[in-house]
Amino acid sequence: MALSVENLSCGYGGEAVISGLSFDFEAGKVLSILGPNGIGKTTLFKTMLGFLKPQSGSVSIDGTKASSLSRKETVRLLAYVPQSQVVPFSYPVEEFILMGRAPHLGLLQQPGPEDREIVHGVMCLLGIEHLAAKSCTGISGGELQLAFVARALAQRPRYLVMDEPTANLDYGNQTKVLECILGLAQDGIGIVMTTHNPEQAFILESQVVLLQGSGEYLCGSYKDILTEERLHDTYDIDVLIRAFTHEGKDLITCRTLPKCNCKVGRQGARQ
Amino acid sequence: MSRNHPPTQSEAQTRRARLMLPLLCLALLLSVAASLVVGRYSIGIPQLVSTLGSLPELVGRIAEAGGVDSVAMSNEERVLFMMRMPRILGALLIGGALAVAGAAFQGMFRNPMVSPDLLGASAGAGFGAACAMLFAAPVAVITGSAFLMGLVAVTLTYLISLSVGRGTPGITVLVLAGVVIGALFQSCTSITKLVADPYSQLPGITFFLMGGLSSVTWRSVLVLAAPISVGVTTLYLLRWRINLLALKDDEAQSLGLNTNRIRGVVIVLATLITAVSVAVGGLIAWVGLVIPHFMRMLVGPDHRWLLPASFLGGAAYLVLMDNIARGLFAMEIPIGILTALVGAPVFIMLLLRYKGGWD
Repeated sequence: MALSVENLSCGYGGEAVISGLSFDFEAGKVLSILGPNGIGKTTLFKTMLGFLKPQSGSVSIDGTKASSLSRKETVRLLAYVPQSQVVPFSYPVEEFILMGRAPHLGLLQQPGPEDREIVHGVMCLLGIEHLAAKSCTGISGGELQLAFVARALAQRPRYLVMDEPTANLDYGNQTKVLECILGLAQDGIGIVMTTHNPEQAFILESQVVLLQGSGEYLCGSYKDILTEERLHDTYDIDVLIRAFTHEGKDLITCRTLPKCNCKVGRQGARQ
Repeated sequence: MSRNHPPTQSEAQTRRARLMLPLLCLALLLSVAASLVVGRYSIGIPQLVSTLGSLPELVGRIAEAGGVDSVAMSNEERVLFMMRMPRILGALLIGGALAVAGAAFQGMFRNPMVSPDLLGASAGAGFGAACAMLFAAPVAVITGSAFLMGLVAVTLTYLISLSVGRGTPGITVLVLAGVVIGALFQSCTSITKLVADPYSQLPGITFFLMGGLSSVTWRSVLVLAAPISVGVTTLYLLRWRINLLALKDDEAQSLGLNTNRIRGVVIVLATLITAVSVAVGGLIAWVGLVIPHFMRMLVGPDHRWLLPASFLGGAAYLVLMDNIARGLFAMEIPIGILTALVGAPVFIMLLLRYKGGWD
């Protein structure tokens, strides 16, 4: 039971955005994909989900080549959680989550009581059952993100693909979403997520794929990949990574070290 | 439902929608009944009842004679069965169908200013009809030509957006192309008006384009019924999928939806409905825009309720409007003008009430 990407090249038209990428990871694990803006994380996701054809190489889900699966079959195994965004209609949260049942229903079929049971179960799992009746347009960003996660879980997938699950969330909600990710991994769901914050890879103790500007990529455990030098090379900033012990557990944390010799400080922004 | 937790708002909304549908049915029935008495030839209610009672006997006589033309009818019978009934049915079908198509389009394009003729269908159909009238073609040819040009206009819109969007038609490009093609066909219509004979042809074309149901016969009801029942039924069968189309494309695709195919189906159906409506009743604006909007306030955005509510509401609305069109003044007012006169202020009122939000 593993999701594997083998020697994958993907992009739009003839141009490859990512080339020769390989990694695999098991259900029940978390994989963080890190890299600068515009490096091709979204393109990679679209290719994994089968919306874009790989230019070469392949994606396999539990040993089956994704290219041989229909879109419906793919999304029953691999559910996508987009960045939390405004929902255009004021569907009640419950109906919104119910949309996750679509891959299991025929074209003209309507969701039935069993589908509602599944949705109810998913909402209880995430602790958002009290939102069922509320309108999607009337809940907070953090609640909406959880609703997106719930909708993906209603697909009953083995893997979740999450696009910056903590983007636009406040500090507390970010941590709640990370807690939710850890819980889901314990339940045996594999999670691939992009993040702009290496600290989250440390918190989740996840596997890491680091896409570097030079077109190279590194993958492995967060401890091996995320070093001060590599983060410096990738993002062109200084990063401090420190290990410490808290209540008997070895933890690692990181923070950035902003330089004080930036132009703004020397020339005076107000002149 | 077997769950034993308190009813949620979505269930409350569903309940309200369930309550609204019978009410809308009732409204439609009432407006149809009222329409039977409205008109230049006055038929009182006792007369109406007795004439309606003679319907089975009349049907028997028609069957015996093998055709309507050779059957002798009283004035009441002729007015009621040969003029008012087809006209009411025509208004009902066109109003309901335009509102359903509008509701589907608004959901799909995530935009309240959308009507079923967004992609140029009615501009094309109007041009087709005007062209055929220029050559003094028979009614069947006018209808066919309107329908054909409606399809041509939407196909052009679609092809343009395909070539701009490199294979995947983006919504914005599609809508922009629709506006351009609509404008193009409108100017073509103006050209036909310009070259038309100002005494024998121009009035006919002008009145046709203003919209009106005065020429609706049983034959035109038959022309309407087939495409409209196919269109409306298919849209209703797709009701839950249309909910999903309101999501962003990549999101809907990640739920296993073939968005391009379903969008294509919805566009073809809405075009079919619009083109056939224009072919029979001329340009009847605003029904497909205002009614779905109004119904969304009553039953919520879920197309499982919104589509049937729109059909009933649209049908009742157009039947009532047609009554006003033929009953208000001695001269009949073109119904397209009436629907615009009523629709535009109502829409502004809705906008003000919801301050630009539309859920």
